[in-house]
Amino acid sequence: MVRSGLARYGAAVCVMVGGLLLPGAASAKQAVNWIESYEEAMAEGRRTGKPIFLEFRCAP
Amino acid sequence: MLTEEDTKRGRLLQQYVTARITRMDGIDIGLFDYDRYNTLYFFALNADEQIYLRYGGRDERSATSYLNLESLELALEQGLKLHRLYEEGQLERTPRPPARYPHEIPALYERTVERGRCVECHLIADLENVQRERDGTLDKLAHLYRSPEIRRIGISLDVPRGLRVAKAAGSAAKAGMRAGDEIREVNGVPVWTFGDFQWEFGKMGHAERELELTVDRAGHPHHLLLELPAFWWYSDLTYRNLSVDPRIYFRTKPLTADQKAGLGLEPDGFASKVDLVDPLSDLLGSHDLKEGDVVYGVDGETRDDVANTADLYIKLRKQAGAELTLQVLRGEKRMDMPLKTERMSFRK
Repeated sequence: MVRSGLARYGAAVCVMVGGLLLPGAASAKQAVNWIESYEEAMAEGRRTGKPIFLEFRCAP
Repeated sequence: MLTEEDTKRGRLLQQYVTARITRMDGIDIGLFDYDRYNTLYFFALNADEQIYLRYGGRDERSATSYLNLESLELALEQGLKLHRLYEEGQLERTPRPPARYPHEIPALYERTVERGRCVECHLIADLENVQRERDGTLDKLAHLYRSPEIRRIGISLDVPRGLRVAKAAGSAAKAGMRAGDEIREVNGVPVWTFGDFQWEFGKMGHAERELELTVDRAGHPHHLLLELPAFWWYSDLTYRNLSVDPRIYFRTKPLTADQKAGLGLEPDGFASKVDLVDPLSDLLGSHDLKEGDVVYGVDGETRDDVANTADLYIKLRKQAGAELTLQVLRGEKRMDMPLKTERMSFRK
């Protein structure tokens, strides 16, 4: 029961994640780049003056 | 569908530095505190580590009930507005909460950091509670129920529109909330997203009985005072997989006062009827309950200040792995029944 619940949950999340933000899937178009280091993101924010949009999630 | 640069969402995201964190090692979990059982959680902030808003939040139905591409775009737009205000000196700085790091939680350190394993968000939640249990500081009401359900207070949101109310019922309707209202403040704190709202709502003590909301209605602010119902903070914990939570392999539903009276049970007791028996209970020899049984006591206790069902009483008041005795009514026969709870060891 727990496993099937987790499977449903996982599937729903994958759909959402895929729709939202996955950067690495094959596409001819340019996808938004996501930095994978907190320190680098902060440094880039300081350098550019841009705000930071930070995502926490489990690795796919 | 990707987040391509040449889309509305892509253009918004390009005005940010975008970062994705999949390991929590080295992250200040005091600053980035949130209910770790959100599968995705976002913060818009600046390089001074001032947080503008949160995007995320979930309910007991699904991890994605409140995640939506349109509301994400609204959040991204709002984050940019707040950033401009901050740059112009028009946004007050908020005090930074005390820093905390995963390696400072011994149970988490032993299970992940020391073994070189990934420090996942949900493991922080789980092993923080294990540590609290070891230290004798675990307060299950405060530490387990972190994401109150707004539907429990009668608020249904038009999710793509962010904090626009689709339907008001119960406490919200009684306080004067209407469909179309835009929620702007929770207990005096500005909120921009459902994530902000749930975060502020979740910070309230469970004994509190009033929630202040400010809504925008046709351009005018309206202050609403919601009377919170009993158990407003309750949500189904099943998805959380917490190892401090005793696994009992059955579920009960509360009995009405009339049903309790008809069975000769205390009107304010937690007597409740078994409506689901997990087949694993047979395998593990947990108990011998059948659907339709009424559990009216646990180790002789029949009432609780908070729990309105026997299974909630066990979750809140007993340790995982405890062996207990249930008082059970099967038909007209009262019986004592052993219950062996289990401790879940949650590890991929």
